[in-house]
Amino acid sequence: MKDHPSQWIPSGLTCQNVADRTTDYLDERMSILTRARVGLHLATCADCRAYVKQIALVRDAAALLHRPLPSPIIRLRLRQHFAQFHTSLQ
Amino acid sequence: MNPVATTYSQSLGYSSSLEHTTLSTKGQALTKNEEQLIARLRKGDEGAFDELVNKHHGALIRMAMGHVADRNVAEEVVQDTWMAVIESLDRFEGRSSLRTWIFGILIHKAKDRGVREKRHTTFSAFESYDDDQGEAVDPARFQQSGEWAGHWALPPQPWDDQTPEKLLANQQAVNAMQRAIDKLPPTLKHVLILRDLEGVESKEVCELLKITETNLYVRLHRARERVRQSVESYFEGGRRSL
Repeated sequence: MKDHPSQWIPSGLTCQNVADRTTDYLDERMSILTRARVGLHLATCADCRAYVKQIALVRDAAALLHRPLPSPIIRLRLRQHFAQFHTSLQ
Repeated sequence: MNPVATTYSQSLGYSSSLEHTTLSTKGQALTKNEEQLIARLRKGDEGAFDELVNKHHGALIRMAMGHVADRNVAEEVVQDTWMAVIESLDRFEGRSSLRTWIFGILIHKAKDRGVREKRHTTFSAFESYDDDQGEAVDPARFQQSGEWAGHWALPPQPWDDQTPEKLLANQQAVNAMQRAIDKLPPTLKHVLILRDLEGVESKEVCELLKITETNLYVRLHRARERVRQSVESYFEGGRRSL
């Protein structure tokens, strides 16, 4: 059976409240009380659990995205400048 | 006003006095690794310089792209940034982390270049709070009235069994993420790159961008939501075509 925000565990929060503060929740920027209320809501709302999971996934995948490196020509130019600058200081 | 970058000398991390300074007790912002890296750089160790470039070049390109529309111009801005890093390293006092200092220089140069080219952003547009206003998630996705007002009307469909690694193995999903990041306005792009791609601590991001922690998290959530939407659209497209 599909979960729905519960009437029998009143977190007092709507899905919109939870969605708008998902980053605060994931990055632990909430008071203990608010965090507990969000936890109550999530316990009974599969849609919000899916949303929180997706934001966490995007955050974690972003950290692993490929990082472009400079082209060989640019790298060579930078190395030369670095070496020349240090030679000129000596 | 909430300037995102500071003056040039501030962005370079040193005072107007050009006297040579070594890492001193002021260098509390530096980790042991950074202190060692800076020492190697100051000795002219090319391996250390390569290490630094490999670590930050990609994120610097992405940040620069927030101000200039052309990838080649972004490359030039990043090259200029590295040149400034090389030439100013001896005057870096270590009042911020090395990374914060480098990104500060980049932001200053990218803004300057963007304004000169009259492309993309101007100072006033860049410093706009527009991206901090309104709801992060489209209000149309929630029920507007009735017993369940504020609850999902168009809930997100679960992305079954996805892990970051699985998501990144899907080139089209990665492209969707990259496109979404590229399209972000600078205010959102900067926080996402610094916080999520580079893993910079929130306090350091606030210091660099001169924003409050509340602003930072509002922007960060908006940025993550836009990237999520882009991946969602890609998955939804896949479902529709089945």
